[in-house]
Amino acid sequence: MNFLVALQPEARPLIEKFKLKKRNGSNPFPVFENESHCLAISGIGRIQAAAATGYLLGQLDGRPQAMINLGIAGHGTFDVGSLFLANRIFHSQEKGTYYPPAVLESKISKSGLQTMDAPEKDYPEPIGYDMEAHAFCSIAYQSITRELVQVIKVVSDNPSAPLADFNPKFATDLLFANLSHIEEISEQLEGLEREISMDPLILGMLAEIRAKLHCTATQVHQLERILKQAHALGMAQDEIRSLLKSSTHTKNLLSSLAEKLAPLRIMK
Amino acid sequence: MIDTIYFEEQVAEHPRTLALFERFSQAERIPCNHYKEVFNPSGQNFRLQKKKPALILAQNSGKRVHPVPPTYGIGGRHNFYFSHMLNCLYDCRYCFLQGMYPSANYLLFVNYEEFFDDIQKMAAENPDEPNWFFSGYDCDSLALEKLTEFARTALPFFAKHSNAHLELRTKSVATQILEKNIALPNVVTAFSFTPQEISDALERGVPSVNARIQAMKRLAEKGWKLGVRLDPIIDCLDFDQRYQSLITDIFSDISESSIHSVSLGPFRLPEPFFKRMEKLYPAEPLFSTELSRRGRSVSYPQEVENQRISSCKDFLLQHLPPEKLFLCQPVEE
Repeated sequence: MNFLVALQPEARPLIEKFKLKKRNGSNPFPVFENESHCLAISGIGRIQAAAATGYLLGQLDGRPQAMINLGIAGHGTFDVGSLFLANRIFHSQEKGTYYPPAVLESKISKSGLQTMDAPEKDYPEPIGYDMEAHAFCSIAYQSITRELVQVIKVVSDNPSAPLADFNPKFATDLLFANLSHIEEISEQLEGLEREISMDPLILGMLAEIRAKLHCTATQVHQLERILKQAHALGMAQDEIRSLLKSSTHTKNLLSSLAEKLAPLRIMK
Repeated sequence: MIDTIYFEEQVAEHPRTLALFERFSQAERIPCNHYKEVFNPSGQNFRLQKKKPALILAQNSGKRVHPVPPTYGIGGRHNFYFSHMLNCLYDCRYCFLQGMYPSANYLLFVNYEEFFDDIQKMAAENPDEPNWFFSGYDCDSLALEKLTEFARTALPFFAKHSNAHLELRTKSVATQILEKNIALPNVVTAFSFTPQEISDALERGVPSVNARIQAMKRLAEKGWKLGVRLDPIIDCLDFDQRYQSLITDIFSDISESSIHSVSLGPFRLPEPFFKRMEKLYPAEPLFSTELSRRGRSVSYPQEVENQRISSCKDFLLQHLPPEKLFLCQPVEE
């Protein structure tokens, strides 16, 4: 699970909750992580957000992974302290409007969100106002399945409580107060990640094979495909292992697997 | 059932949009300029969206009625299809929609009257012959009738245009709208079937074979003409026994005189669709069965296909005359 936040005070609740450690070394953006979470702090604005999103994407290992842009935002009607999921994200000067797919089961409020180049002080529409989300989506959508890219904002200011100077403690408190909702969304996204990830049994078997036999890049693809088919057709792992044991080359293994699968290739 | 409704701003005040807003009053309403902003972007995952599809309300301003490939048809010379809706309530693993569309959201074009205008114009080009209009290519024609009220709107139109023939293709038992109306000679309700065991494995959310046969029976009693569609034919263990039993079950309850047509279609998918579907559902046994590339399609080996079609033909000809049996051949490449 990956998070992009603009400022350190917005990141603090997640850093504490997930016990994230700051990555050492020279990084273009501060990164905090543990085994299953990674959080980058972008700084304010679209350029910073786009660059940090690209940086986070560069860290991914090819498995389906979710990414959340989290932070505070103004809103035309929502109360200060309320959390919302963005369902339409636009910028007045950019062509694309983004619609994060509505796949999450949640009672959390939804709202349109306009990304601005400067803080919005007039709140002309009943929507949210932030400074990063549009850029975040424009980059994240290039590499990640759209369902796994979501934008969560907590309202920090509205027409009754307009934006004053940035108060770091206030931002931290707002996000702390909403941690349970953020976790709920994050867990659902992790569930979606798993649903479209390759089965760990197949990944494990592929690793076993590669540890024993030399495989060309093409053979890795062939193995991946035939292992998926073996799994789909109900061939036991032990049977694959026994074929692996008796194979001296990847080519032999591929043809033995194909031969064993042939009689199974019919709908039951 | 519907938690999110996207709507084009140009249809915000359309009576059908307003009725759907009222019906799903708790749904989030999200405006968009054009449905393609929501439906078309690449990088969407059909499988994840299918868990909870949103409804998109739009106007179809492009070409609404299209010619059907010449190898498809149920006896007429002039065949067209139209899609007032894209995507389906059901989740059939073999369905080409999963490979064709980037989104699993239900896209409903609310300007039905413009579809009917186009149908009227097409039918007027061949005034002395039947012109067939197929409605169930990109959606199930009846499954979401309660939401779309498409059939309710279409029947009065077809009642007035006798040379325009409508096929409603469905796996649904939501046939109340037809049962309440006087049967029209130019409307055929065609039910799609696979044997129950295959339906259990591949057709999520679809009513049982028996429930569909009972729906057919109710329509037949009201005088509606019926179709049977065995398309796609899925090769399986005990193929002959399963398909023969299915066909026997259908014709035990439905008289041949109520049957307008039966069509058979081999399982085939354009290769790019198949690849997308296989990627979406790698654990699906169907995609690991004996399928291979033939031309630009993925299908069963020719001899298997011929054998299965031939068996089904034999079983069907025990119940109906050959002039009611049609084979939907893939377009030659």
